[in-house]
Amino acid sequence: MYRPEVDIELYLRNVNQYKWLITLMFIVTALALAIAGYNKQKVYSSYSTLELGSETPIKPLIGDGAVTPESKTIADRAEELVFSRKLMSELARNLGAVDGEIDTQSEEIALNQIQNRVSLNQRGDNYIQLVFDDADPFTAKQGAEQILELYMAEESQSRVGGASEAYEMLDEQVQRIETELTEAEELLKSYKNEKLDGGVTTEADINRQMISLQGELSQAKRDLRESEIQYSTLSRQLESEARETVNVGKQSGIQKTIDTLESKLAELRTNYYDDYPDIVELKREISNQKQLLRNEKNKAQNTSDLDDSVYLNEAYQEMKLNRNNAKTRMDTMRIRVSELEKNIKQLQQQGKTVLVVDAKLAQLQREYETKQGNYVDYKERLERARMTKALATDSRQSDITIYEAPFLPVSPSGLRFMHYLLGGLVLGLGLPLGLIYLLQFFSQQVKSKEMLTDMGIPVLVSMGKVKTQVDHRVERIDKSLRYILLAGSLVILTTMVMFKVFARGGI
Amino acid sequence: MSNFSKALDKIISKEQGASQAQNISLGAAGDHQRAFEYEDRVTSRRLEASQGIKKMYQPRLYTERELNSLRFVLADEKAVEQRAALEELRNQIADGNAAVGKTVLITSPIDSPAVSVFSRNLASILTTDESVTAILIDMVNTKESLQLTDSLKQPGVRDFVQDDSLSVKDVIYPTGIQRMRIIPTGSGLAQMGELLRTTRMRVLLKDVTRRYRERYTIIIAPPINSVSDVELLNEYADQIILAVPYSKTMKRDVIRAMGKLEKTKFLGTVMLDVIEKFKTPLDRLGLG
Repeated sequence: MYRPEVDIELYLRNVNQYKWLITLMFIVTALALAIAGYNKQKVYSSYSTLELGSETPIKPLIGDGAVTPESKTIADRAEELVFSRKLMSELARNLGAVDGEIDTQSEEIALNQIQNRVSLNQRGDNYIQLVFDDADPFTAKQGAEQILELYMAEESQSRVGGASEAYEMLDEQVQRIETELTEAEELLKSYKNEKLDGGVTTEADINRQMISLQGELSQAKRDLRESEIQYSTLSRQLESEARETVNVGKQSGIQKTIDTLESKLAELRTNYYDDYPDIVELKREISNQKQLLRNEKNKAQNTSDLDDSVYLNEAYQEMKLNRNNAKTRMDTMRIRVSELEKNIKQLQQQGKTVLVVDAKLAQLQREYETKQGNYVDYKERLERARMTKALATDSRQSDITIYEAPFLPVSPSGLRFMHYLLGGLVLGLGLPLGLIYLLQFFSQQVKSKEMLTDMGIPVLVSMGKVKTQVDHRVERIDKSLRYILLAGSLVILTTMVMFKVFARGGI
Repeated sequence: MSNFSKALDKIISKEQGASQAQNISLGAAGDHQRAFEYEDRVTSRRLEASQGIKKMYQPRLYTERELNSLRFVLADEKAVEQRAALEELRNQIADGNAAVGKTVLITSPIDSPAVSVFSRNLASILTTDESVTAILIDMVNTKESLQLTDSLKQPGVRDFVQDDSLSVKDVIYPTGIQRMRIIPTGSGLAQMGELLRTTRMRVLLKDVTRRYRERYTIIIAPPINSVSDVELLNEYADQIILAVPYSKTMKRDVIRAMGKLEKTKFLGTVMLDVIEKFKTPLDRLGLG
């Protein structure tokens, strides 16, 4: 894979092809920068260095109570303050650039020129430099001193003003929140009085009562069931006893007759045979009586008719008394269950009302707590603001200290003629060469055998241009012209250097 | 390759076949004998051809100054590399059989006078062999090509195609180079691309390319990307060379041109007007 960007031979051919471009760009760039550097006025810079956010001697005694701005914030504010119209106007007046208020266009221009000579550089996280440039080193120092003085005064004023403003704002906030808190407290109190003292119990009480009632209801239902079972058992026993009493009376009479007839039959059998008419009659009679007894037994199981004998039975009477007692208890239990169920329904209804009250109460409570939290928070901030205000009014507590005072500069700052000269030579050569490299990288022109072979096209030979005598002559002239131009530009550069060294005392 | 060249190769291969048959019976000694006999026949043929060629009409020869102004590569030290390149190309075209002429089509993706200069130099280098001649059929009317003819009004390819009364010999002119003839573009307004489709053009190409077996025909075709009908050129050419002017041709032009040329006859590309590389101080000291 052919890569034109690494083809050095092609690059050298391109350099040869665009030698005029290189020559002209070199001459233009080198001369332009040299002239710019030659005509550039010397600038002297004086500056002061300020340390931001440094710890004051009293600060450790106060602790973290006071609110101190972040160093970055101070740096940003410093930039705003330094380049504010107020400070710049004052500086211009102090330096004599303008008199009094700035009204005319020429004064605005003078102000703008002063502003262009001021710069603020941040050095690291905690240091800033207030720089003033001027062609005269003494003026530069004076300007730097003026900026520092004005900035420190403005900063102090701004700090005090800011702290007071913050304190007043927080104070207003605290008062407002205090009023709101009192209102919330009153509202909560009155609602509690209205609802809770008016018989509305809490949800917890309702739950407790409900559990108790449900327990009682379960017990009552169990007792009722027990009474019902007792009553039913006693009723069945009572009926059974009555039947038993009636049948036993009738059957015992029949049995006695049978016994009498059988003893008579036995007496007759001792004297007579079985076919004796009396014996036969007795047998028939016994048989009838037995039949009668059996019928009576069956009848006892199927009939409920009672006779007076039953009512004379003591066991029957006792059982009847017990059954009546059981019935009385059963009725009582039924009434109790019914009452309990009614109570539970009432309690459930009451529970619904209690939920609404609780929600409202919780809301009021929340509002009250929020306001209380805000109140505490703002109160703390107010206290810190009070301390900050106190610190701001005391200049000893400033977060800004002068690390380096303005000085008298001895050598000019910024780029000098020498830098422009060297930069022009380097740039003048580097710019066209870089441009040619870019051209080589992006060009789609066929300029190497490898480019064609990379496309699968064989290359037989490559030939240079067949030149005539005229071509050779033109080439020689071309070359000479380039050398003359280059030499001319170098002569100009050398002359400028000489002038700079001898006439202006250094490059 | 023309039919004539094919016929000649057939004869030679028959002769070689016969010699191989003899070799079987004669062995190693026979090989040498047969080779000598073959060389003798070739040499005698070339001598015979050169004797005939010597009789060609040659009104005058270019002086060295004229050659230089017409951009011919001279045999001096300033043009050693160019001459070497042309000789190398000549060998590749001849492919070991310089005595048999071929038709070489030279075209380029874009219009460039360098193609005309290269073609005439190629023809010139081919005619250094006394047993062969070369003829240039110039289909590109450039300033460079016009310099080879004495007058702009001389009839050429365009005139031959458009005027039936002209014969082929009427448009062939001698040049100031020995054994080198030229058919100029000629006058007329017709586009060369359109003329390529005519029967007269076919007649011209057929006559010129097949008349003499020891004649190289160099056709300087118009830029191939500007011609739609390239069949005739592909048909009559034995070999095709694509001339690529340095730094003026784009890759896409080369790809497009390649699509129009017959692959089997394509010999390769020639890069023209290649710019010398910038000589660094190391190069000047011989260390580069």
